[in-house]
Amino acid sequence: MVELFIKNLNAGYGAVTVLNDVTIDVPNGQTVALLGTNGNGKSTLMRCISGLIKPTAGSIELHEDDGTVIDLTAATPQEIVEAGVAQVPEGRRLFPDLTVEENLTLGAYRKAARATLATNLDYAFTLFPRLAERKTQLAGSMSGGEQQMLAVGRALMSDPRLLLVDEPSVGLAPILVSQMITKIGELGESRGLTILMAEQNFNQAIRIADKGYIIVHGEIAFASKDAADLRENDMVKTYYLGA
Amino acid sequence: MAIFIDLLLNALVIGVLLGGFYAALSIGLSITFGLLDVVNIAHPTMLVLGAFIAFLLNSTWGIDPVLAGIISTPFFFVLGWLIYQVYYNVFEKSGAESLRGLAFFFGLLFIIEVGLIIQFGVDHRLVEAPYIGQSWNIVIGEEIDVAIPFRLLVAFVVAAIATLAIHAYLTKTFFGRAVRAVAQDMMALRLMGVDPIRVKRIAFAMGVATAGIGGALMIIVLPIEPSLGRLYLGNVFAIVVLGGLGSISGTLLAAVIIGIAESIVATFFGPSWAPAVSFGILLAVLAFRPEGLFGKTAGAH
Amino acid sequence: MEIVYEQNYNPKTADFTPILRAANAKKPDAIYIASYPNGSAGLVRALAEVGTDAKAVGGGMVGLQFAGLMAGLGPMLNGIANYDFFVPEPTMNLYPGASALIDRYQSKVKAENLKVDALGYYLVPWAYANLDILGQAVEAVGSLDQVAIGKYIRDNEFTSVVGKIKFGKNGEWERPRTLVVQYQGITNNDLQQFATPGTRKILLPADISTGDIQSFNSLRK
Repeated sequence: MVELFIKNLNAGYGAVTVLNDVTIDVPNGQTVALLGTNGNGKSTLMRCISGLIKPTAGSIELHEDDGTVIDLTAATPQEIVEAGVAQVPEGRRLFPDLTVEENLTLGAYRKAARATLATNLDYAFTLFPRLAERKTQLAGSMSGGEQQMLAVGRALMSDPRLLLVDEPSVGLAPILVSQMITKIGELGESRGLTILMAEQNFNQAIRIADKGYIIVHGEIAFASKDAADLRENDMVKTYYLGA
Repeated sequence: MAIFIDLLLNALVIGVLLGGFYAALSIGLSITFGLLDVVNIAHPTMLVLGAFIAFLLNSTWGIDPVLAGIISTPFFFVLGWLIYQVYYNVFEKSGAESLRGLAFFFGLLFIIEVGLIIQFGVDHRLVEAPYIGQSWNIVIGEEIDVAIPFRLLVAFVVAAIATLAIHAYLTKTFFGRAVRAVAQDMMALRLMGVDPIRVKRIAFAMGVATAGIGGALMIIVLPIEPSLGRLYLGNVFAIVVLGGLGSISGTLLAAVIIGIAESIVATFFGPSWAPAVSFGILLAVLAFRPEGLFGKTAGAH
Repeated sequence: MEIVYEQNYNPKTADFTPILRAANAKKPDAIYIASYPNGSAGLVRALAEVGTDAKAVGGGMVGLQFAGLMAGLGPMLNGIANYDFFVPEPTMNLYPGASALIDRYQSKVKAENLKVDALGYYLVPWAYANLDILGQAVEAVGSLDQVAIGKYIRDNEFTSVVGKIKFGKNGEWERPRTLVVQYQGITNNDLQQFATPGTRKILLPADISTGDIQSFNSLRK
């Protein structure tokens, strides 16, 4: 039971500022879409949340039910994973020379997840039966769709409360994109996961999102009130078509 | 005919044992170079340092060389830890490891070698143990008997145990799997909650730690002197590449293949051809399997 | 004399038992070995592990004269006949000053913990004589003129710690002084036994010999 609050976040690489005053709220149990075309800062924000990039201003916090606040702003990537945040990175970033099963097992490196390794492995194989068939195969030798399944499965192995999914549709055939997005939507419902999904495929993303943000040049250009607002607001269409 | 069978059997047995010995020399490099992409060309010289420590413990207190190797292994772990710390902070962190890192290990090689010369002189050193110079004769038939030199048998058994233990550690534990993944994608590993620098530091220290026990086996098998490491530099790299980068079991099997090939060639064709045959095997294998005998190459990295 | 087996080995050879087995298969009467220290030690160990029926083994094995290797190999050396330059046998006392020189060398090595050969028989007397002869020649000639010094050394006989030295026409010693010794009676790895007479009997030159050659296996065990 966790809610992600990002307030007035600035971040970048060296002297280049990418994110400018970004404020986002991902409520517990919801799937929130972070929409925007390439190069607008979606992945930078994802990396900030996972601690791979340190923000220059602003804050990133996890709020728990009981009022506990976990400040992730200056936390290490390890501490952030331990806090229950997992990411499916852009480009999947699998370990190509390890087997499917070894990739999944590495996902359970977090101490809290080691005890439930077997259960989580079963869950990943049930979610994606394809991975069960290929569990002894090297990850790098699989098709793009299978690799994306593995990337999602691997992130789930750490038993996360908050799942970050960065561009799950990249490099996939349209039919697979639709299946993958549906799968992520189901995940949110069946596991009660809180999900922040960065996506440039607006039409697919808004199918499963409870609400959404549009990010343009590192700034939040639009924040929807709810799912209906995201699907129907003309602003979304303008940004999507305009981009 | 009996003589031929006698020679063949002995060549095979010696080859397998010699292979175990070569594996002990190569296994540390298989971790540091094969898995971590750190070109530790000082590794054979660290083995010689391990051999001199075994010599010192053996000649001063009469400690069995294998036990001496086990005793010095933690020392090498700490040494490896410190070396990686310097290597990481000075070279790897800034992405300058490819050429300057190589120069760093080249320098380390000579510092260790010169240090050994200053401390021990250039004399050849041996250790004493009841099993050195003895062999186990197995009579198989008329004019056919297999002699197993104990010094090679001890080296083989210890090397095989160490290799299998390292292999099990790397495939069956969470940390071991992280070691095998670290050269493939450090960022992804961070997202799994792993600190890749810590993984590399510990794994590098493990690789260097093998110089303790490996060096002890070295001085059990042959006399050592400070510059001996450079002589074996080519061989250990050849074995690691032949076995396949990143494959610990591949290193063991490649070492046994080289051992058998050298022993057969030395017996039937003349010992001076033996090294040519090892490198010939390496070239032939790389021509058809660039990833080595047991290497995995699903990804492009 | 028929040569039944002749092979070169590589300095990287880690184990010599296959080589010795291949040689033994040709049933040689004698095995002549020309080796550097690593090979010498490797072959001595292989001889201990595999054995041989050859009656004489050895020859030009560099390294077996070193204190470190002699102590390390110990009884495995028994029976091997090998070249040497100086050993502590009674007949070597012909040379005035040699024993005193060795004594001085050994006590200096010990006192100052020098990282050099602990015994010094092999090279020290001849190295000393080398410089001694050069010094005598420089003094006699009275200058550093190389041609004159060379002529003086060729034309005269010298007395040094290794006795009287005269050079022949080809520049070698007029009377050969290289020893052939046979290792025997070595019972353990104690270095000091090599500092006493008897472990390396001189077979040649005949005029200073202290023993006759014995078959290789008769001196083993």
